[in-house]
Amino acid sequence: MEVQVLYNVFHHEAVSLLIAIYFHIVGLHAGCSIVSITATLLGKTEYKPVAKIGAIFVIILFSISPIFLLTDLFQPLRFWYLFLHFNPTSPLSWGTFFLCAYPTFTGIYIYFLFKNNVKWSKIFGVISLPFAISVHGYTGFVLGFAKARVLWNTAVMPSYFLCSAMISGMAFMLIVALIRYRFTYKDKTVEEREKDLHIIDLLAKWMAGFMILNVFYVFSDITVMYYHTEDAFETVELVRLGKFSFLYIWVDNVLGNIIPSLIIIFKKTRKSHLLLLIAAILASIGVFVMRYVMVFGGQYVPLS
Amino acid sequence: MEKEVRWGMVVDLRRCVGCHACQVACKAEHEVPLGVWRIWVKVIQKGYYPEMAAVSLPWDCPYCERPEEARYPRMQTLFLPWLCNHCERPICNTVCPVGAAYKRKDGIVLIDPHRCIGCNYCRAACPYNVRFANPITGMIQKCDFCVHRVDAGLPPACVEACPTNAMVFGNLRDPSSKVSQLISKEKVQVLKQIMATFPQVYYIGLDKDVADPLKGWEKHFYHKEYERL
Repeated sequence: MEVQVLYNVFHHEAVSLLIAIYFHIVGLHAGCSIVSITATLLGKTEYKPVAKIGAIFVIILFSISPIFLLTDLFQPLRFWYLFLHFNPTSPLSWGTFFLCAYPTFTGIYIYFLFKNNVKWSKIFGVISLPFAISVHGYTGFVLGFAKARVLWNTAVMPSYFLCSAMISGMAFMLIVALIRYRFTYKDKTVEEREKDLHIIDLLAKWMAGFMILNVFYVFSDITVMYYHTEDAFETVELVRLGKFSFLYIWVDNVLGNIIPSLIIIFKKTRKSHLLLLIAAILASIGVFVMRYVMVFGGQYVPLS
Repeated sequence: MEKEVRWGMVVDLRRCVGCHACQVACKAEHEVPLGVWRIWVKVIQKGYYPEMAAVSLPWDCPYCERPEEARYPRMQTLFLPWLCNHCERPICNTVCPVGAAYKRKDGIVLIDPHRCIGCNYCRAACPYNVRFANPITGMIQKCDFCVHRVDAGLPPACVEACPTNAMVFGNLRDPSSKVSQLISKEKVQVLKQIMATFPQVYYIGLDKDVADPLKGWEKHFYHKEYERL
């Protein structure tokens, strides 16, 4: 039996590309600041450059991220209503306050970090770490609470988003660390070079770890959806075989997660800085594609 | 003491002839801009396309892939007026970050146009795709059961325009109202019960294929499987 839809109305997409870009940028700076704060809290002097690189990019990236949020609003001049009316059941409401508290505490932390005040930078690091996690974690809940879209409405979504934020942040810091090493290694002593190489190695290893975790999340998400409702089945077919399969399976997971993690796992390829750079760039592209597919793939399934 | 009021609607799909009068009346009542609708009548055709059938379609259906093969009598056209369900537990209200979406005591789900910031989150969360952003004002809008008419004692515009009385509006808590009688006597269904939003728009004679948003869209999802069918 055939079914033909003769007349139906589809209203345009609710979540636009600006939000996908915002998710990516907020993930980048949250990842950077989590790495930076962790490096400070571990307290070893050789991790200090990592902490400082991360801190600088937190400032730059954070200052551009709210632009995407505000320009996406249909009533951008009313953004301050978010502070007046708090709705505890809405993750966007939580996000407003995280987005305000996070730069405050992280700013103080960065100030003490650059003043070389170890004690206070650690104290404010501890305070701003939960905010750094929640400033990106809330975006996972934003998608997770939209119950109409099966691709978003999964319990794995917040941790999946956090995990990919860590990947994008680390990939970004790895690119910066590699460029920094390339341009400064001639002026350094052998010991300093060893320290820099150790940091690059450490960042790459952690990134590979998060990539493997990410692949596990994708695997569990897709397989569980096969045992879910009809909508979920259609959605998972869409991302596995349909319109988004090339982007999601090949670009995001194979090129963005599996190949870079393989490059890092093998010691021979890990020693090559060119390959590491390629791995980090692939990982960044993969995470952005994942945000794109999540936002648009989720809305591709018709609701009416 | 005043009787408790809970507005609801019953759409008798056995009576619906697919004239789209509700759609036009709503458009006129609320000055809904081009391209967006507060209520619309979804139309699907389903059935078999036998080669030996005698009677052809009276019109050239531009949407059918094989209009010459679409034949009466082994097929049927189904209509479904699709509007805001004014849910008992509306997800749009739950997720609105500024509390602009709210539910009145009589069950009508509304949007405060002076508070809405246009973040589109309610549109992303609504399982019925009834919310839209007004392209002129940038406000999020949807069916409001013609709240200005209801408060004045009149039925909504779509109900008044319906030529076959397929749409019935009334107080669900009043046992003598026509909606309560229809719900108690007839076999009613709601859309997307699985979403646990408890809709207050009931349908009599709802077909599973017209209620399923994914029917007729299979080819957009997995091309290879569709080719084999």
